[in-house]
Formats: sequence, C-alpha cells, structure tokens
Amino acid sequence: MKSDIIIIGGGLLGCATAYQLSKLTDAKITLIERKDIASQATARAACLLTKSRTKLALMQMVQETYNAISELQQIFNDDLGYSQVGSITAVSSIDSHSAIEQLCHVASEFGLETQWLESDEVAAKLPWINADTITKALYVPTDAYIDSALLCNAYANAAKLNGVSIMTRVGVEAILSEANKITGVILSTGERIDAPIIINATGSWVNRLMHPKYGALGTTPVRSHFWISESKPDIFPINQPFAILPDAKAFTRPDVGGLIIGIRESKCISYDSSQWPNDIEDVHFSPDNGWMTLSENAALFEKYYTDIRSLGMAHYVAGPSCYTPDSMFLIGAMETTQGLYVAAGCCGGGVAMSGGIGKLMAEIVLGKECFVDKNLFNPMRFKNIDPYSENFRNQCAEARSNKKGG
Amino acid sequence: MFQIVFIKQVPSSTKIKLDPVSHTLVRSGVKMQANPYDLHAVMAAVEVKKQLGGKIVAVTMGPPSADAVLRQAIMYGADEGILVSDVLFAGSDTWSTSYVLSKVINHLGKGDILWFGKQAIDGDTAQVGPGVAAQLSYPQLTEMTKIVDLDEVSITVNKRTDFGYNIVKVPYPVVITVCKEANVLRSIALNDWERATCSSIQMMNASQLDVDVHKVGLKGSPTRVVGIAVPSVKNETVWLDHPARLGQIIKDLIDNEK
Amino acid sequence: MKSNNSLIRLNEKSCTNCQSCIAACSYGALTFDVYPQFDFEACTLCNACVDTCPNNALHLYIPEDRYNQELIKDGDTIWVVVELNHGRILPVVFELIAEANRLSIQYRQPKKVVALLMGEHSEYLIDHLFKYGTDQVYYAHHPRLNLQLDEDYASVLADLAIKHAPSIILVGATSFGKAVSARAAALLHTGLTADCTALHIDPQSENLIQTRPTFGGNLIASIETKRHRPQMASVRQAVMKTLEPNPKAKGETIKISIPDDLLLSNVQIIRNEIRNTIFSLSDAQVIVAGGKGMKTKANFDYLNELASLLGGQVGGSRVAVDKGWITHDKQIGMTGLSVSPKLYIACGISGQIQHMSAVTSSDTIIAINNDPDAPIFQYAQFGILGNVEEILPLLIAELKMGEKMVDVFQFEL
Repeated sequence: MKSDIIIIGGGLLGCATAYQLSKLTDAKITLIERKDIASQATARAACLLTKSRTKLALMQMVQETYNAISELQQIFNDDLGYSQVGSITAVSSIDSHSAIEQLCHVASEFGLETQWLESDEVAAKLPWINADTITKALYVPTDAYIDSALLCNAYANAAKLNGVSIMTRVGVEAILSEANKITGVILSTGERIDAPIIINATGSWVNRLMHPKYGALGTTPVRSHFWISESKPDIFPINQPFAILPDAKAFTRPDVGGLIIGIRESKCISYDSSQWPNDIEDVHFSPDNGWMTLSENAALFEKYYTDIRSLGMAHYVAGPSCYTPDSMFLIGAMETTQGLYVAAGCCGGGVAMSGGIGKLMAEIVLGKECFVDKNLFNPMRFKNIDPYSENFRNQCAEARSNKKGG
Repeated sequence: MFQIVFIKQVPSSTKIKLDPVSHTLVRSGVKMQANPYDLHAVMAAVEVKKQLGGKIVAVTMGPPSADAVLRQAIMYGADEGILVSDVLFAGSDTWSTSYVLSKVINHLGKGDILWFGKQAIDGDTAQVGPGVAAQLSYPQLTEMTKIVDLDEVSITVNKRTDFGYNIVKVPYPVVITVCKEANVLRSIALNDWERATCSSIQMMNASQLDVDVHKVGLKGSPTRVVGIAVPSVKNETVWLDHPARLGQIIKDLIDNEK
Repeated sequence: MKSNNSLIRLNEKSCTNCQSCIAACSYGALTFDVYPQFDFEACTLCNACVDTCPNNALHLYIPEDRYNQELIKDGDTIWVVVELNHGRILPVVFELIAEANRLSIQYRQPKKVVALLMGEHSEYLIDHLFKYGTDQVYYAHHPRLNLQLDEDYASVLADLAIKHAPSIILVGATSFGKAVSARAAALLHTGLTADCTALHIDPQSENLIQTRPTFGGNLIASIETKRHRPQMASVRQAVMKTLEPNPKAKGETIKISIPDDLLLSNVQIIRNEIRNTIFSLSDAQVIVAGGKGMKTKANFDYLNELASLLGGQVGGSRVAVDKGWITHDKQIGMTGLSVSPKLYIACGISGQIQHMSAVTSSDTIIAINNDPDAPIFQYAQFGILGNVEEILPLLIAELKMGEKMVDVFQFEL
C-alpha cells in the first residue's frame, strides 16, 4: 500500500489534521487509529471552547476551531452537541485582578465581545454561586462547549468525504525511515504502508513511536479529571454559562441537570508513558476516585459554592492531558528526519485548539504560509530531555498545576 | 435495630478482553469495588434505620485491601465496618464463606436484619445469603424489590418470584437479599467520603471468630473450580437484510433465555 | 514465587516469563518480577492463571492429607426436585429428569432417577413424572408444603437427603429453586453449583462436573464437589432437552409423611401476585436503546412498543437525553448507567466509546443504523442497515405476528 501522507492517531488532533489537510490538498491521506475514532483521551474531555486566551496566537487557533465547527455543522446538518452558553471568568482576590483585566484587554483587542458583570448579574446567570465572594467577573457571551467525540467523528467523517482513508482497529508498530527520510509504517497486521510524510498525533503514546530513534518529545500524560454532580436543574440550569474560577483552580460547566466541576490539584500527577497501556480504560487514574483532590480543594471551592461538601457526585471522569513544560503545544517538523511531523501536547486544550492545531499542521506539512507563528510550537524546543524521567515528568505536571484558566 | 450488611469486593468490570493473538485473557490492572447489589442492600438498611433507629454494620470477607468496600458502604450510610480477613480463608467457596459470615453474627450476638445483595457480579451464585440464613437458622427472603411495611418486630417486603411478586411478612431476625429495584443508589458527596475515610475498620480473623479451620479456605470448601474457559466470542457482524429476519433472531434469543 | 504457603506453585524451569498468567488474573493477585509474583491475600484460587499458562508451569497445590481421606460413600440415586407453580410442574423439571437419565448412564453402575415431589393433593402429578423418565417418586406430603416456603422445602430436602443419601440433587435454577438449594446445601454441608448450563460425569472419578457461566457470562467455569455428598446443582431453564414422553411408563412411588416439627418457617405470605416481573433499566435482561438516529421524540414510541413486546426496558444515549427524547435517569453510558442485559438492541446509536463502555458486557448486541461505518457495528453480533423509523415498524409487526413466547403455564402435561 502507498499513501502520500499518513496520520497516526484518530483522536481530536489526528482527525482535525486530516480534515484541515484534506481541504488544502488532493494528496492521498491515510489516517490510522489503533482502536476507534475518539475512543481514548478525546472521550474524556471537559469540552470547553474558551475563546479568551492570554496569547493572540492561541485565540486565533480557537477561532479556527469555531470556524471548523460551523463548517462541520453545515456539512452534516448536526449541532455536534454544541452549546453556546457563554463563559464567566470570575475572581475573588485583588491579586487576580490584573490577570483578568489583561485577559479582557487581549480579548477585546482580538474583537471578542466581552462584558464585566456585577455580582447580581453573576448570581442571575449562575444560581448556585456565592456571588458576594466575586470581585470581578468577565463574561464572554459567545463561548460554547461541544461534545468532543461528536466533533472528532465529524472531523474524521468530513475528511473521509474529502477522500481521506480512515483505518481503525489497526495499530502502527513502527515508523520506517531510510537515510533520514521517512519511508512508511509497519502495521500491527504486519502490513507495510509506504509514505514520504508521517504525522504522529498519538497523544499519550507519541513518544512510544518516536523515542529514542527519532528524538524525544517534550510531553507526558498528566492526570486531568472532573466530577459530574447529581441532577439539580433548579440550581444548575442547563443553559448557564460555564465558569472559570482561577482562584479556586476550578471550572464548572452545565451537564444535563448537573454541574461538571473540574479542579486542578496543587500537585498534579504525571505518568511514565513508556509504561502506558494501549487502552486508557486500563489506566488506574485515581484509586480514591478523585475524592482526595476534591477534599484538598474543597476549602477553596467552598467560597463559591457553600454546599460543595454535601453535593452528591454522580460521576467521576479522569483522563490524560498531555502537558509540556511551557504549556504550549508541539506542532511541526521533527528536524531529525525528513517527512516526520508531530501534533501533540494538547495541554488540556485539545478540544478548543483542535481546529487551529489541525490547520497549522496542514500548513506546515504543505509548506504554506502559517496563520500563526509556528515557532511557538516547535516540537524540538526542549533539548536533551528524557521524556520518561521523573524529573521531566514533574516539569510537565507542574505546568498543569500552575495553570490558571480552564 | 441492629442491622448487618454483607459486602463483597468484586472487580469493577466483569468485561473480559481476549488477546486476539494469544487468545489469553487481558486484564491488565484490575480495579476493585463493592458489589453493586450490596450497595442497594446498604440503602435498604438505611431506609430501615431512618424509621427504627439503631446501628448498621458493614461486614466483608476478603484481603486487607477490601477495607475500601467497607468504606464505600459507610459512604452510603453504614455506621461502621468489620473486615474479616485471614489467609486461611483464601479460596473459600460459598459454603465456607457462609460459614465464616455466620460466625461473625455469632460473635456479634444477633442481628435483626442481615442484608445481602441478590448476588455478586463476579460469581453470580446468589448462595451466600441463604447459606448464612441456613447456618444461623434464620428465615430468608431472597430478591426483595421493596420494603412494604416495618415495625419493631417484623418486616413486610415485596419479593420477586419467577411468576410475579410475593408480599411476605417475617419477624426478626431475618436474612434479606436485595434487588437493584429496591431503591435508587444516591450520589455520594464529599462529606460521605470524608466520614468513611476517617472511620476505623475493625479486623477479625479466624481465631477471633472461633472458626473451625477445616471448614474454610480451599481445603475446607466442598466445591473446587477445576477449569476456566473463555466462551467463544463474536468476530464478524452478521448482516441482516430484512427486519423480519431480525425478528426471528430476537425471538430465538429470547426463547433461549427462558 | 515468593510465598511458600501459596497454594499456587510455579515450576520456574517451565516458566517462559510470557506473563499470560498475569493478564489472566481477574483479581490483580499476580505481578511480575523476574517470575510471576503472587499476592496470596488477593488470590481467590480461581485457577484462571493455572489454566492460562501455556507451559503448564503453574499448579494448584492441593495438600495431600485432605484427599487421602475416603470419600463419603456415594449414593445410588440422582434426585430431581420438583417445582410447582399453581399445581403445574415447571418445564425445567422435565428437562432435569432427562438430564438425570443422561448422567445415570455415564456411570459404570447406572443410578436410579428419583423425583422429589412436595405438597398435598399432588398425586395427580406423579404419572407425568414417570412419563418423562423418572424411575421413582418420593412424595413428601404435608399441607404446609403447598405454601412453597424456602425454609420448609430446604428442611425437607436436607432431611430426606440425609436419610436416603442421593449422589446428586438437581434443582431448576429458578428464583425459588436457587433459594431452596442454597439453603439446603448449607444445611447439608455440601457443594452447590448454581446456574449450570452443562453437566457430565467424569469417567475416572465419577464425580459430577458442573459447567456454569461466571463473571457475568464472560467466563465458563467447571466445578466439582470432590468429597462431599450429595453433589448439588441448580440448572438453567431451557438448556437441557426433555425426553420423549412414554405414556406407558410406570414406577415406584414412596409416600413420606412429613412431621410438623420439620416445617418451622415463620415467613407469612400475605399476597401472591402473578404478573410480569419488572426489572429496572440497570438490571434489565432486554434493553432497547435509542440514539441520535432516532431523529424525533415520537420515534421513541417504537422503542417503548418493542421493549414491552420483549419484556424489556428503554434507554437512551447521551444525545437522546440532551435532545429531551428520554429522561436523564435512562441515560446509558460513561456518564449514565452501565448495563449488562442478555440482549441489547441499539437503534440509531453510532457507538461512541462513552456509550459502548457501558454496554459491552451485554450478551448479544443488535444494531440498527443507517451508517455502515458506525462503530456500533464493531460491537454488534447482528446488524441491519437502514433508518430506524422504517425498520422498527416492520420489526414490531414481525414480533407481533408470531407472539408465541415460551410460557411456563402452557407446558403440555
């Protein structure tokens, strides 16, 4: 078998890349997924599409995701679980004011509709919240969330309509090269596919196919998790905005009558991906079902929601986010080998960034002018690292621990 | 009211994956949890306690790590937990397990209601509840779907039969096994978890329970598993071209189950 | 293997470190460090590792002293416990009589097939038992036995078994049969294997080998009661074939009067309702579920109709709940209920992992979907391609046409 471009990985980054590439080229593209499309980390995301970011490039990338979503909604006549509820970023300490003002400033510069809310306005939008504790709240009415699995499948299906072949339930055993040039892959079936260009978008497994032969990628899986509360539609209305509470290291989102609550622990947990099983269903993220984290952070969250300790939790969802030490993605060419590219290290932003990451990846692969500065995401910017080492993993975990936004 | 709820630690999922190449079982890393039916039993005990007061003790027999399922029972409303653990118990079948658990009741004195889940999701035997009832000469009500009435001396419940329901009344003490229909599991809150985490678990071993060691463990168990096999699994979807054919298949499947 | 008191032993010479034993352990009791390491506390001696080992390097160590003891003398009868429903014998009883006959001839010295009938004024049933292959009927009579209380049935069964020492006792794995047999086995201090789907006699030991599904049907276990007698098994309904009835068959009937002091149950039946039992969605045997492909709330009426025809429950995917086609408590999936029915009919459900992770324990999955590439078909044993609103009415019509589900009341006597 032969292909012009092989994309490995059928999660959000792989499928978005396939979609964006297929819009720009007639080259023969093959996407290979070991399980099913959207079956791994993608299926466990909290799915916030937060537009306001502290960096312009990131806002441009989120905008590409919104653009892609509306294209896909039209193609398939399907809302993809898209819900434009708006977002509220709320802070309760003077220390956080400059950060939120800066956020507002950058967002307005970018042309985003923003609005400062008074505490009674916050209370009206988020009936559960203790609005008195909030000193500043920024409302972005056009923010939305989506169903990540539906979005990912839509990327894949649209790519397929554009001629991309999608192979599922087939793994890639190895990436092949000769004289520092990519030549193809060997599949788990033993079959070989020849191709001069390979894009590795295998998320948590990205180093497994690369390291050490093609270099080390500066990312490792870090535990992310959220809870879904019992259904209480009177205080958790389905159309309430999602909320980002930097001072509680938390976010919330409505979910069929309940509230999704995501909390970032002060010390995040990273994993050695060389020991990672083939299916994240087999990873034991939290023997205590996350209660320990919730317990540790309850004092902070309590300021916003007094009844957090007695709120019944119906579900707990944990999954890997692939963090990098600087919380920026890895998108671009691997200088070690001609034809080898990577799209990884989503840093918890895979859903919101997917469209932009896919577009940037496509532009880089096709040698086109890039819509953002690709150097920000150079996959080889971390030198002399051992991605499996505890020291490096701690750096990635810290990047998540210190993150402020959603 | 003194109520005892028996909890079994079981794998969170009974899904078995078969390695497509080696045809061996793939179960890397097994998460354990309380048998879901047993949590419904805890909820039933809580319902009784709300009306009649008293105490609910959760009991499990298993390895030291099984204290987690006792804490799970405490989260759902049990007051305390007893972990019955001894290497001598390893490999106990349903008879030996019933024997040990009946010794726990002897040790505690007497229970008013002994609650069990209808069955465990790993073994599916539904034997231990009636086994304990027999060893203690308590009456047994299996497959309870609802508490109908309660007072200080007796309980009236709805129990499922193969043909419908029986409404039955029995004075205490009694063994009752609980179906999932009996109640809806409530959601656990952080308070519940914190209370369970702080609870101390009492340990009991064979000598404390005055157990005849010849009647427990692999040696003392009447039954022995002599083989385990994985049933053949499906490979290809059978495509049907007409709903009528699908109807036939559904009828066959349902008939076979009866 | 670290632990010497472990009952599972490793022959290190045969071990190739393939680690298949570790994967086979359902209880996480095996880890790997040079050789398989065994956590004796977590092990339940289920034998899966021993069975999986391709090199026969693992052995279940059975201390000799127990097995040098002589077996309690084996009995020369196989008993079948007769379960009645409103004066009629359940079909499973005839299946068990047939199976007892098949087991009997596997012995070097065939056993007699005995039916144990309990009740009062039940003589009229005895001829049916002979007609279907019983050699002898024990008719234990007392008016109280007509109440069919677990405690009384179990006492009588245990008492008679002690007196007459059968080799095997077979009971239908009905709700009542399972409750009675579990209680009787405890009284008799003997082994009981529940829900058997196959039985045979081991030619060497002449022990009963009992096969049953376990782990929600994901494993098949073979179980033996080595030294204790009687060997007790409850057997699933409709898995064994009945014998051709022989109208001329006759046999011996032994009438046994049961004394009052054996019947001490203090359970009082207040009311008995005969109606279809209802299982909640999480416990349902048949589930009909709808997803995005259902397109409208009105189309869920088809699912309700189909479910009621099949005695099942209706559920929905996340999308169906979001669209308001079905209530939140009926959501099946990662953020809803997990289910493990015998039959799962997925209508217009594409099969995202968030949904499938909660249904893959189902015995049989049938998928109706208009997208041949939908992941649901990767899981489904049977698939039909098309729009649900076209297929469901035809399917319902087909099921209505041939409404002749097995009915226990209509078994011909």
